[in-house]
Amino acid sequence: MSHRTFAERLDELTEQLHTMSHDVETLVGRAFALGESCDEAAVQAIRDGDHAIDEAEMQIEESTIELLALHQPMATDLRVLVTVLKINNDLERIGDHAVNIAEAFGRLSRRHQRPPLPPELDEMARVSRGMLRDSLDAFVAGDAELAREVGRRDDRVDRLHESLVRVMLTHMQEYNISACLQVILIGRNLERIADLATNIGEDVFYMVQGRTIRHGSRDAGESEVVEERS
Amino acid sequence: MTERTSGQQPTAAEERGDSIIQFPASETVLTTESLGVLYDGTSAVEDITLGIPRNRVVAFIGPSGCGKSTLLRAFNRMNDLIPGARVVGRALYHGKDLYDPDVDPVEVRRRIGMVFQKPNPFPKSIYDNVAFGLRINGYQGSIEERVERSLRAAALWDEVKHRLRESALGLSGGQQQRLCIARALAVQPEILLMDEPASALDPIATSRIEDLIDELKRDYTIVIVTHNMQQAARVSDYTAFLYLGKLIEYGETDRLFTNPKEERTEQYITGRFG
Repeated sequence: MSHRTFAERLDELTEQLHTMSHDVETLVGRAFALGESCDEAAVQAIRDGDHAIDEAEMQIEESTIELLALHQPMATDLRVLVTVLKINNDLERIGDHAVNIAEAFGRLSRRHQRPPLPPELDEMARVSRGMLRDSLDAFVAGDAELAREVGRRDDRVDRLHESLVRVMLTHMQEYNISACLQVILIGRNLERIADLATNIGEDVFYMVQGRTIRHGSRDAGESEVVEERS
Repeated sequence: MTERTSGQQPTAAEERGDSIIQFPASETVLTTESLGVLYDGTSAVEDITLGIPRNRVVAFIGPSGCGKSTLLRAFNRMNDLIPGARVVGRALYHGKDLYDPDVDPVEVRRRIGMVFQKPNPFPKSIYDNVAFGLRINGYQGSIEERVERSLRAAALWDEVKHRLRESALGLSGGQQQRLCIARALAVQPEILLMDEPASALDPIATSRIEDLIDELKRDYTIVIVTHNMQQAARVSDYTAFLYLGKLIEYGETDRLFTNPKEERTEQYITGRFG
């Protein structure tokens, strides 16, 4: 295979990842928009969207491994392919979190006694989705500064998450505990999306600059007491 | 024949700064200062200033004709044998210029051995091939013991110990190349120069040579020229990229192959030259 073909295939691959990232962003937006009065069909539509993302993830992984094996790329080409593999994995996980959010809204919708949704939840969704969008824009544009900036917003999402948990623990005394847990769960999934967007930003920074800005391992969080896919 | 002059101006390498790794003098066995080689007045390599660190593997990479083999040959005065070749600048081995008039090139080649692209065993027995250098150097110790030690170091002993008196030409290509390495090791050099040592070998024989290089660096300093960038990445600790006779970049192999500092290095290792 000629080098021109390699360059073309690399372009195709990044274009595929770009499309997938757009689908994931949309899915997260749709999942959050379901709200607390959705039906099972709407939740199922999010699951279906996630299946399509899983398919895309496998295709991208396969193409990336093939390019790595056949061309043994170096320098920028190597960094781009490694970054594609990592972002691909992160996007697949974000798709799972979108499903978790939709299913939590579905369970919440089936409860008669629902707690009010605290404003922290909307704000978490706004910030984490913004982080996701910017991290992916940074990948497309090869913008190291934008990529680095994404991670700086992660602390705000963490603080909102803590506040949300505190509010919901208080509501548990008045409302159905399981319903309150669903809200906590939605917040937790948004917090994980922000973490993964931060990872994407860090990976993009590495891709562009060739050096890492990771801050060590992130807290994996406590195990959930309600069903959640990992 | 060769002659030399010393350069006084700041070198291109110094001007480029951190694209060329610097080693403390105590860590290097060989250092060049503005080294150049000319063939009939035409420069093949010029203004090369670099250090070769002890017990490390250094790879020279670059496109055909970039001067990497010429530079390698300058390290043990093999260019002396080429009519019209002239060396300028300095090549210091433990602080002594290899091209000083009082330096014996035969002694240089004993201390700085060389292995070539194509295995070139003598049409003699396996034993005699390894013993050859010892005999012409008038070695007084046990030749038998040194032959065995060299063949073991070259990871060939187990395959040939029962047929030491058979012709070396009956060995496979990979075995012949390891025999040539054993022959070079027999005279106990400090540095081993390897010019495309695996390019004529199949992947399995190549893998054995690469494993051997990794083992040999415990006792020797190795400089290898290779066209195979994956090989350079696998076997070397440091890589130097040459282009049009100039040293463009020299640094830790891990870094150079993932994040080169120079645009030309990036273009070459990603195959975007031309």
